Amino acid sequence: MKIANWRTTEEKEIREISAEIDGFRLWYRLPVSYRASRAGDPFVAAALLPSMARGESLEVDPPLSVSPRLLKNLMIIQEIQHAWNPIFKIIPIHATASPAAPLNTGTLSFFSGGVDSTYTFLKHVNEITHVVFIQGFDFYGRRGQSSAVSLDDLCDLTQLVYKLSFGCDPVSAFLKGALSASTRQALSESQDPSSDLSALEEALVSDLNRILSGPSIYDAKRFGGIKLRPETEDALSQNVRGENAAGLNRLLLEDAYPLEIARDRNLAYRAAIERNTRFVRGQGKTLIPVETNHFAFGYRYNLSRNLTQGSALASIALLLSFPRVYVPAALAYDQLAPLGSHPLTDPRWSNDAVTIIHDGAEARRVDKVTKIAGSASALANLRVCLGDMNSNCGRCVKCLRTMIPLQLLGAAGAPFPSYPLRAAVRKINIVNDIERTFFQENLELAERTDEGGLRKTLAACLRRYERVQLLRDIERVIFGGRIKRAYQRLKKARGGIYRIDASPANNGAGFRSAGHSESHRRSRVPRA
Amino acid sequence: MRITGWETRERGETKETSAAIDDFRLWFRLPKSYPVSQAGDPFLAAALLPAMLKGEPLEVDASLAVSPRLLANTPRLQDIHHNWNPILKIISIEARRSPAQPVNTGAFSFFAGGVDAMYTFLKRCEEISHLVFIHGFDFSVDTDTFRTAVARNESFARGFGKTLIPVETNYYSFGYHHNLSRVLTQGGTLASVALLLGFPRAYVPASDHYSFLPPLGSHPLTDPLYSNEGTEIVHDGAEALRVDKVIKVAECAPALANLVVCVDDMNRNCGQCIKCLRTMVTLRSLGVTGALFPPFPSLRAVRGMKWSGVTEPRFIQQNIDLAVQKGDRDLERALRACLKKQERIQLFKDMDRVLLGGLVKRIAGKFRGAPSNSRRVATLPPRD
Repeated sequence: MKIANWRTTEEKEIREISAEIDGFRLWYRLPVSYRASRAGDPFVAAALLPSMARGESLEVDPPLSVSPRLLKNLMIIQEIQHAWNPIFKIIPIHATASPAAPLNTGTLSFFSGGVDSTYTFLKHVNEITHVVFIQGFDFYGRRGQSSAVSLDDLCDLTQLVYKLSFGCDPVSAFLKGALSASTRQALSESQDPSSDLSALEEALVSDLNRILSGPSIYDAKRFGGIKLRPETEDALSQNVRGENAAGLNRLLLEDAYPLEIARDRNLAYRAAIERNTRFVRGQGKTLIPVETNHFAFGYRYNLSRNLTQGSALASIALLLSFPRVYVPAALAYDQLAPLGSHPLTDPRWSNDAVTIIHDGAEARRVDKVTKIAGSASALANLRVCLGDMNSNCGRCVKCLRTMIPLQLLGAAGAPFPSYPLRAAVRKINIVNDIERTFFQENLELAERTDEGGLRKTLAACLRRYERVQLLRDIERVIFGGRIKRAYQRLKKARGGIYRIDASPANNGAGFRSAGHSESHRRSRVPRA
Repeated sequence: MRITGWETRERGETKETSAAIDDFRLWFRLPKSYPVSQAGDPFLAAALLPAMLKGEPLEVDASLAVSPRLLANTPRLQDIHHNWNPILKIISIEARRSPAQPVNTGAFSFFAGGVDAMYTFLKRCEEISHLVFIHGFDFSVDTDTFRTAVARNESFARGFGKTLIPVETNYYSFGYHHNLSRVLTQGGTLASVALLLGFPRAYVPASDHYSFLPPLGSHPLTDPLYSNEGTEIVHDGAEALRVDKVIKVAECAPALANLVVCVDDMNRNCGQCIKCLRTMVTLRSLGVTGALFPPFPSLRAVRGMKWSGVTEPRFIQQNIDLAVQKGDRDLERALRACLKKQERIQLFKDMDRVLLGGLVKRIAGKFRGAPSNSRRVATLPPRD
């Protein structure tokens, strides 16, 4: 795998730094007022896991140099990633070594306005000068005003190919039918994991543009299950005859594939930046919005977001080159499991100029929420919901696990819908041991503070999880996992996407576990 | 908690360096030919966890300087231990600061002759100049046994052109004095010896693999945090599975001939304990025999293996994978039967816990009598 053709361009106060990796142009966009590294470090950080997944050596084009400290650290990162998931091979890295120097002054922390990043922000508020807000986790904005789809607009090619191949929904079925015969052929061949997607990618873009430039693709039945944005509704009402529908079709396509196809810098993103900027400015700090197609790059190699998270943050940290960068921890020290961002790996992405610190793993989630509840402005800015960047739905598991401690703590001014929590908590399905720990922490808080009966509901919820786990253990031990395997075969037959994760236990690589679950932290749930 | 009264005195061929930590004099004895650190660092590393358990500030006598790098690392070290087991409190440390310097030259690795230490030694053989062999893990071992082990390991090290440094300490008694378990104090002990000897690099052989890192006294997150400016402490070997370590050891005849894994004896392998059995199983798959091992027991002994802790099933699974790879169907069946039996026992315990709220366990506990009061503080809070 080769990193080549590094370039920087400027457009409307935004600087784009990019390089070609294996024919894909990986880019980062940030305000022109910040200096950015001209070294290969950010791109080496980004390309390491894809190279390891392919088992190919990584070569950095000679005009780009890489920090010797980073090169040394990458050997240890490789050992760890390989130990976690042997699908990642240890590979040689060929690059010209040259020490890096800091380019900006101050201390940076990544910030999304959620529990982990708000906690780290409050904990280091005296030291932090800047926060980085990233767009590109789920989708990224497109450049230019043209309605045509470009190669760069495909945020998640793997997912798009999967949906079209299987005609998962009416729009995908319609589009598949409208593709040329050769593209359909390439689609079916793409099911082979070793196939090269670049030819298919170009064919898809060409076909999609042909379809977009035709009559309106809207059909009430076809788009029945899709939530249309207000701008799409407007375009639809202005184009009832369905002619010259390229603009409308593009909007419809973006709505049908919200995570797969780039959309115009949307209102939600702008609102999130404005809200978070207001919050950090109130504390005398500066927000740096950064856009990237890093995750789309990872998806090309079938790498999960959980896996590429650490390298994505590292590449942005190395690009901005502040001397110190905090990466807010998602899991506490006693919950550690292989994950893209981890206290063993995050600091190893540091180079001579940038020290990357995995921060906040000492605090349990409930402790973090307690700290946030002590700051009115941080609490008012708290957004934990995956469904929306700017509001908390109050119904999803992330919202609920945050609302519970806030209610128990009697925190006023929390930006969550207000309603009796017990009924919603009763319906929660805890899906893994980590989520179980969060609810266990909430239960322990409830035992100390609860007056409204939440304790009993939480205990019942946890007991249900324990029973489900017990059933799974019975299935594994008594039936040798046959029922689970049959279920998985059925699931695979329906064509689910199995992305490569930090640990084989989390992906579809057929890992056979050692038999025992990590039960050393499983504690008893008090009976209601 | 206070660290005072640092002193060093020679006794015959050994030098004893000690300090009083509150009412306990902690000492380390090593050959007098090696200079030792005159700083407070080794005793700070030793006293940190006891002070955290007491929840008392740790004060180092002004006559002893402590490395700023070590002091800067202690908040994170404390954060980790406090998160693992909240009984260990975050404390303040008062000490005079002065950067440390290396006291000896070269690189050493801790060495007990077991699989982990042997693997790290072979992997880093070119770089390693010395091996440190500690007596003090278990004082039930008599001096003669220790001397025999020193002579055996010295001869092994000499064969590779390396030097063995025998170190005696009463560290574990110190830990027990504060009711701390050995699994918790392990990292601090090795760190205090490393900081006392002051070699620029000290390797701590890893016992667990990166893919499964339960809280433990010696851990890749904590070991490096005990480093100071003079000594880099490296947690080494977590990238290798246990069977891969045994494979590496088996490829080196002198290493295989010197391999002792048994917890019951320093100089030979009993062949019956879980550590012996798991290693002998791997050696059988590889078709080799260690000189210090008895003949391979029956497969019935393999089927009957018992253990406590969460890592053993992983070692068994690795041995199953190896047996499959080598086509040893009998061994594979025995290992699978052993794993299955333990899984059923665990399932029964889980059923009792989830469905009966631990009723069976409580009744069994009543029959067994009251739990021992000697339960020591470990890396994690007790599970019940």
